Amino acid sequence: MSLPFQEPLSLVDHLLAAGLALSFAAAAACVIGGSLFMLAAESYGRESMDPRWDALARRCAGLVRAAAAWGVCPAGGALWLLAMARQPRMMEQLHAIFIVPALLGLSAFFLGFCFLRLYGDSWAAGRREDPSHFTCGVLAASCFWLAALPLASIRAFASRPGAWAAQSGLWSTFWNPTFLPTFAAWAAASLLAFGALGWIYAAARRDGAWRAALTHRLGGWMAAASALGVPALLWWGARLPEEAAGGLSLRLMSAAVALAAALGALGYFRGVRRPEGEQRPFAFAACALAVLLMAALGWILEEARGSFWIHGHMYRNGVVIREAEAISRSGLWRFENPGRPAPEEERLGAFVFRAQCAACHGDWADASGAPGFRARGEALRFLEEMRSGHPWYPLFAGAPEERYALASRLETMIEKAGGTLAPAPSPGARETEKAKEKKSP
Amino acid sequence: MNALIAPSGAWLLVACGAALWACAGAAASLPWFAARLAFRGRRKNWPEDAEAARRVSRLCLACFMPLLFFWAALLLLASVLHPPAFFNALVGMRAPAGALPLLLLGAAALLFAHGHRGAPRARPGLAHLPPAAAGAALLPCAGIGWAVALFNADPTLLEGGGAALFLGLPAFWWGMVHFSLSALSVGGAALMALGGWAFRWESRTTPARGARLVRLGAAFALCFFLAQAGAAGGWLLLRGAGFVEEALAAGGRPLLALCVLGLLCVVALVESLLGALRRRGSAPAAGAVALSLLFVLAVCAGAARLTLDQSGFFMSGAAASPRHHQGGAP
Repeated sequence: MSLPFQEPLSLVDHLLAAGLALSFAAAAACVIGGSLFMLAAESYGRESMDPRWDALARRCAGLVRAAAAWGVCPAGGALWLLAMARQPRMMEQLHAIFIVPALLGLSAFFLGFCFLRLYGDSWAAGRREDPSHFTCGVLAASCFWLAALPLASIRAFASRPGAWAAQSGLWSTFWNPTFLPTFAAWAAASLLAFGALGWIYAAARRDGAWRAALTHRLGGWMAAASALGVPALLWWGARLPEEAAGGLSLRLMSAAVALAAALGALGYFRGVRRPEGEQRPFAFAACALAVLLMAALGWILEEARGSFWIHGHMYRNGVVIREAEAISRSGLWRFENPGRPAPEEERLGAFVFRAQCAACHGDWADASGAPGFRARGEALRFLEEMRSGHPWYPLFAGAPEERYALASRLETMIEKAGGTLAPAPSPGARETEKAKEKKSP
Repeated sequence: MNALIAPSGAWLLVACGAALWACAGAAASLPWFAARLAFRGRRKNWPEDAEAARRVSRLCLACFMPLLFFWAALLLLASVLHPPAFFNALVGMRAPAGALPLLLLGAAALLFAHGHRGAPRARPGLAHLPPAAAGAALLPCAGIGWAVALFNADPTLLEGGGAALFLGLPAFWWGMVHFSLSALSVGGAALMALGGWAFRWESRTTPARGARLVRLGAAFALCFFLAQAGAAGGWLLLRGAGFVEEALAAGGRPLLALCVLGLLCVVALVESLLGALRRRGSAPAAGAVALSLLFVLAVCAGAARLTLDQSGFFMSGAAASPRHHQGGAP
């Protein structure tokens, strides 16, 4: 989605943001899925006495550590910096609301990394039988899962418009209506993605019995994750905002449900029921489906974002409506690069509409609706009223040329939708009308 | 939510800032020490120096996770405690700040290559290059971080031009000199801690090599700490006695107590570093003691700055705002 007071993002910007988001999601999936599978592999090793399970657990610990250090940190840091530079007002409010959970989440991630380090070191020191060894692994996995909670809550909060206008307390905001379904869906997708990655590893083993044992376990793992993910996705879809539910988000959500179900079916019918034989094509197909699933979930979060209220301020794409004028004057947000000429009236009107009206009247932009003005000049008068505070509408912010451009844009919309506008009444006629209104009881 | 963290938030900011300074100092200086050790090991054909260089690179890599943690915590706190100035500074500096993750990732990759793989067998003579390149990549990171902090302190500086404006600020260069010297002294203390690790039973390094590293680290730390103390003394002399008197009057007893605590730390630190150089005291604990004293010193400095901030000393015009360093330009 494009930001107000900025030109729409270029293709390179979109690709950069999407690449970073996908890298972060993949690395996070490795961390939270891998930390669980690490513990599971060690437990299987204790049951079966096969030393290869222990070796697998060590390998998982190394992978999780690498994913946390080389994937989550750089990609997450870059995404965070990008969000703060592009949407400073929204990030300011989100930081202010979520500061305590965010600090706790950061600390949990750091502690998880430290526990994972201790866990890996105790493997290297041969202290497998020491009870503190497994405890360190459990603590590491718990800390990583705890660290994922605030992140899921912030993402869910920022992309679910309108539902919590009256919520101002931290915990009521943290446990927002879409938090649990979003978290469950992301957790299931992460487990599926890590299961698919593990399947590729299993398929490359030469020992048939070991390959079958691994594939069987991973298939069961993926089927269980799918059984969690499909209801979570449906739950999430039911809670999508109304303006998103009818559009692309719903189609994406259907695709995500289908992908999760396909991954579960693949894991069950191929991994659990028929673990013997060649597994590589299925493992690679599962991995591709998992990547598509992660991309679809990220896309839903971006598409579902609309206007939302935080502590009584209305936001659209990161800017408080009532502060739009001040931000515009401060020079932080510019229409274009400073060296270029000012935009023409038509573009300026479209721009202001996107910034200040589309939050509630987004359907006007695709000609499925139209403003209800009947004569030329009414739109401009209405905008003038909105500047001083209309009882039903938020404050309109903008310079005079922005108001003229927006009024012209609204009139063009009416004409495009097939409506007609009466000519603007002369000043004399307007005064007569006002006098009539005064006389009437 | 601001009300929730406001009473303790500023002090949390000081503690996070001191921890970040320690981690950043170690991360920025250790690659140079690793390069130096690798170079000397190759030149004098001492394999123990080459091995020590690899351990230093691994230690530097281990500093990255706490560095990122404290950096993120500091950003969060600063964005909540001073939102307009912080976000203005970040938006103004978005282009250089965007390079930070890439630079950090590149430096980490170089250190990983050196610490875990060592020098390529074909060209062992170039073993010092990866850590040196990592050190060179980390210096701009420190510079960008310091520039954001400068703009955060005085947002009006951003009005004049683009993001590269900070390169022309004398305050920026003063700060960088201060950071470099302090980073090198923290790096020396970290070297001492690494040498002290050799005395533990699970270490594969001999205690003799560890003791050598402790003395080397103590020499580095003492040298750069004295240089920094000299620079700070010179800066105060340039400001004159009036500045010190005004600051002490504005800060009152808390500032006086912090100054006394800081001076005690300085004396204890110099004493412990000299003890390590003269082979006295506990070599295994010397690094931890030096690092702890440096951390307390950083907390004292941050707390003194906060006390002066809260007393309005910097608002009164007597203080060292970045613009003041430019010779009092409006």
